[in-house]
Amino acid sequence: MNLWRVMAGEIGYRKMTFVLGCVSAAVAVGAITCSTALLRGHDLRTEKLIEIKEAKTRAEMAKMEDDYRVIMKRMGYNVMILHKDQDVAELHTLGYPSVTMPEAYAENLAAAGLPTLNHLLPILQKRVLWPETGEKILLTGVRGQMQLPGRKGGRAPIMAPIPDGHVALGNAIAARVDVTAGEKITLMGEVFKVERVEAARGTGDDMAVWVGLAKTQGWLREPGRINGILALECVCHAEALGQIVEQVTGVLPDTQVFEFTSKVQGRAEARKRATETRQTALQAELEQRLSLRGERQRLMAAVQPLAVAGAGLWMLLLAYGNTRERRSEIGMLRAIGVREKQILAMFLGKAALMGLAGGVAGIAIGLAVGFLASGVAAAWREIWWLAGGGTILLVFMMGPLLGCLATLWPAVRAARQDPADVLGEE
Amino acid sequence: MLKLCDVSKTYCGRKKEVAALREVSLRLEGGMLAALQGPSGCGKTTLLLVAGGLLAPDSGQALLNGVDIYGLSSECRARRRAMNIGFVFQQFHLIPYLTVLENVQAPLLASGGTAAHKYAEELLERFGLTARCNHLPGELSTGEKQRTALARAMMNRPGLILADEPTGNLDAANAAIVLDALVQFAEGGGAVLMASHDERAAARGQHVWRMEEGVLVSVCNLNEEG
Repeated sequence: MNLWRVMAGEIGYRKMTFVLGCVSAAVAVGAITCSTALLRGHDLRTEKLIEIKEAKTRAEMAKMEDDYRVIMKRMGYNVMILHKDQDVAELHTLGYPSVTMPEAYAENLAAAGLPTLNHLLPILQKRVLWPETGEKILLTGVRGQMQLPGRKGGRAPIMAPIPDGHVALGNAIAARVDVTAGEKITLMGEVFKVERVEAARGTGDDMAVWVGLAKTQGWLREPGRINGILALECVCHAEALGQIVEQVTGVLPDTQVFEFTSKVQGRAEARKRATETRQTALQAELEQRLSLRGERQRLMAAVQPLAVAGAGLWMLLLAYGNTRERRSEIGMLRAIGVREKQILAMFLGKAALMGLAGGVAGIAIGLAVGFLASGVAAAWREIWWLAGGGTILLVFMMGPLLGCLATLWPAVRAARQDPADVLGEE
Repeated sequence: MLKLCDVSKTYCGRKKEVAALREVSLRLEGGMLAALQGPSGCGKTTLLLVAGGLLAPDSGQALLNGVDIYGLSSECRARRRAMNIGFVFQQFHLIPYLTVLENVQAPLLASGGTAAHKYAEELLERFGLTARCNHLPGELSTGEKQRTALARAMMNRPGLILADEPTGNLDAANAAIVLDALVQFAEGGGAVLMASHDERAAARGQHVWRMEEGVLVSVCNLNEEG
């Protein structure tokens, strides 16, 4: 015979009291666990939302960059590298450079691997008569985009090479000669298939005919020569444009560089603004989530003490009722010599058990509710994270502690009860 | 064994004071069975509570084996009570959720004894409760309840049994069983102080002490007279 047996017997005999006590502890512990889990779930969800938004932003930015590349290609190139003897006034009058330079310049520039240049396109241009149609065209020889060493692959070239026997037509000239993609034309006495018709650009390119570089060099009797290198730089900030000039002339001293500054700046500014917009949106989302978290935290701060106080009060009333009900039994136990601290231990032991059982149930229920209510579609393994290991341990101890504290006064009162009062009542 | 010297006890009510014991003195030795008689409210139960170390007198001394029990701390008094005194109550005061066997063993909670299982079974056999050992008090008859309470009182092999109306709720057969057990206990060297209205109980006592209004008015030694 020992106190545990007495406690177990009493719990079994007054099941409802025990169950109600467990429910009280479960409510208190559950409220704390659930609210903690909700807040942590909110954090987890915020983190995931921001991650998703950031990934989305990155994807959108990458797409936007590609879009800009296409736009810039249509607008013309960012940088044009010409021979240093090229007269600018003449360039603008003719609409193309008149001074040629060795094609090897393009290869040297590509081999230099300047980090500010992404795409290099050597060209040979001249305004000539299309004898078969009587139209004046901007004959443009291109050899396709040059491979730059040490660059990541995967990006589409800004201009694909024109295969042998093919040409590309500017939008205006195609309209003038009434030709569409796939049809055949005769140019300089040779038959070519129209590879594509470019979209209207509103520039001299609309009257251009793109042919392979070697073929153009042959027609213009300029073998191994080009008169310009078109470059699309990839710098994000307009401030870096000066570097391009410096770097290019460092590799090719016989050249000069024309910057289409306003266009590049526009692009850089647009990108910067887009980035800022995204960042602002992300920040706003984060702030909104933080504000929501604050509101929830304030609510929890009010609910948690109320739940604990309510549960504690209920446990106190249960314990008080229990000690009243067991008055005669306690009086008898005291009469036969059971000591005060043993009586106290019986009540507090039962309260601790009640708190422990209720606490375990409260943790389980609180976590489950918090898990479901926080809307975190995550694996169950995140449950531990939801409430935090330390919190669970604390809350685990809280159940028995709350039970003991709530029961302490009635238990002390019962233990100190004068057995003569009870036994004398007979 | 038990000696009360000029013990007085007054209850303070809201309107008036009630003197339950007035300078009561008595002496009870091993082998004695004393019946305490008197009308309701004459102080019998108060005398038992004082003698049992449960109710401190206002004045006088209660000596158990020569020691003033109210001169001891509450803890020491409880230990002494557990080791030396067995209680039998009219209302039995059995613990409702413990079996008969466990109720009998309840005094072990106080004394800390662990090897008394066999003795508990002997007591159950002696009081005809073996078949009921695993039953709860709610499943027992009144007589069985009192016999269980009596077995519990004897569990720690006390020197003194204090019984308050032990046969008050019992039929003749069960009362005889309980009185036989008390007589047997006294014959074994124990002392019994029994408060009772029951003439059958008084008839089994070697000493009959009569109380009126808190005063022990007559002492009658039946053995000497007989």
